[in-house]
Amino acid sequence: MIRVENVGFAYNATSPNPIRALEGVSLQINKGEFVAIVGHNGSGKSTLAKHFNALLLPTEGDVWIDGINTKDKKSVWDIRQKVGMVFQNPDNQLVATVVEDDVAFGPENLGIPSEEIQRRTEEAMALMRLTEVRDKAPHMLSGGQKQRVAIAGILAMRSDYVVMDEPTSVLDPLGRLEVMESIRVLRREGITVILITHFMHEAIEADQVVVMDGGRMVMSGSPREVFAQADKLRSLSLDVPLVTQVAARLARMGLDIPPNVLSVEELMEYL
Amino acid sequence: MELSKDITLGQYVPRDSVIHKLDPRVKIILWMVLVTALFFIRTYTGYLVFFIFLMGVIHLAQIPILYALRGLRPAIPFIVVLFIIQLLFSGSLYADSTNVLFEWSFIRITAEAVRTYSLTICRVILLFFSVTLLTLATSLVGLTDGMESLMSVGRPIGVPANELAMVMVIALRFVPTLVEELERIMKAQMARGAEVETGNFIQRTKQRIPILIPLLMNTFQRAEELIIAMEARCYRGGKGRTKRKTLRLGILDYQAIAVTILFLVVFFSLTKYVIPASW
Repeated sequence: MIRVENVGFAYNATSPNPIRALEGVSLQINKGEFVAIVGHNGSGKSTLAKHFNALLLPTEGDVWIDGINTKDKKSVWDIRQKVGMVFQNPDNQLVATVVEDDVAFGPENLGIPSEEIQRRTEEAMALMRLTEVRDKAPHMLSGGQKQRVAIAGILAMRSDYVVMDEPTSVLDPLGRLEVMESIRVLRREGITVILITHFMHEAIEADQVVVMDGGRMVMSGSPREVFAQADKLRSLSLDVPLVTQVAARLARMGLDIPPNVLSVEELMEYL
Repeated sequence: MELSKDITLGQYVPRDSVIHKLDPRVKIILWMVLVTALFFIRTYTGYLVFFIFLMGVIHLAQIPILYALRGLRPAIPFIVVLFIIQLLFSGSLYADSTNVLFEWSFIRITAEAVRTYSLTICRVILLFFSVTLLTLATSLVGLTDGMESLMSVGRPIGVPANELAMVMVIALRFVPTLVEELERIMKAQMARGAEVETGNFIQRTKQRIPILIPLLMNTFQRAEELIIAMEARCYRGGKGRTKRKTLRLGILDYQAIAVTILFLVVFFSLTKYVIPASW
């Protein structure tokens, strides 16, 4: 379980003019959950993401990962093993010259025996459907494939949590679908997924949606609860998913449809 | 201006040969032994035999011999120029020689000089050739792994073997990415009317600036992101790190070592006792 307790963060905290990025954020993420953190640029969502694996330490408040405080210097590598991270640009997070070596990079850093690394690498590549491209160089892969390599690298570390910091924002539509499919695979494996995104429709399948604005948590709840407040979202320059928009308009036109429909199938049923 | 997407780094030719399968450490060490041996050869015949041996290795590596020889081409002008300069300006070293082939003003070419420098050229060519051989049949990743493993012997005295290898791997990993980036920037600047390949040397150098500055800036940005990504994946230097692939010597490696030693023993016995020193 991840607990964020009243966290505040400022870049250049010790300088005369610190930049406040987070303000009083409290949040609890249970094991196995899929949490989407949404917000427009500068809302503090990426800053929050970097708190989950001690890449940033809170200026105020605490972040607890399975009961370990991220401020505990001795546990920093345990935390990073527990909480894997996928970044926005796939090109800048792959280290090795071939897929297989990159997937093995994390476990190699953990000092695991060679045979075990090999086993985990094979498993992770199979889950992310990378076995056929195992000896390809990263620059030969598509964006979606590269992100899958990054996710496989985390799987091979046996992380319990995966934080994805806008993993789809530089991908083409096909790559986006690949990433969303990978999230489903991670969930089936019982891994907690924290997705940072500004695409609302990517949050539909989440258990919990957290909306950030100006470094504060402004909304949180199930997608249904959050998307029902379309006006408030719009005032935060965020959109509700297209299906929800359509449903809301139909409702306004007098049809008997709830304003928080989440899928096309659901909408069809009401019609 | 289209830069190739499938950049082959170095000149590695992938094949499924016994030479390719050798442990890179063995290849590097045998290569060093052979290069050292080169410096003890004093006859044309010696170099010829050595050359034939290397040809044999190339044949075993299933690399076309002409292709391997082509690697020498860029070096030829340098070799020729060096040879001529040495012949022209080193006459005084052989001042007491009676075997003068040509003399004019300060230029004095003696038979001894011709022999010494020809042998040097043979040595340089074979040196080049042996490097080509190593890089043709060993992937850069293999070379890096091998170097890392060999250098880690020096770890107790503070040789950062793993870190150096990591630097090498990252460099290799990013070359294609940066080439793609360069291509993108060039196209972007051309689309905005930048001239890229016209004008004289100075103009062309100036034209490079709007391409190189963004490339440099982006590279720093990438480096920064990569560092964060590596730390997020628990990288903390070479300490406590294990490897997925462990290099292990196989029968093939011992055979290669045996063949090389045998060759060198036979070779130097021949040059010492059989082949006349003047050949």
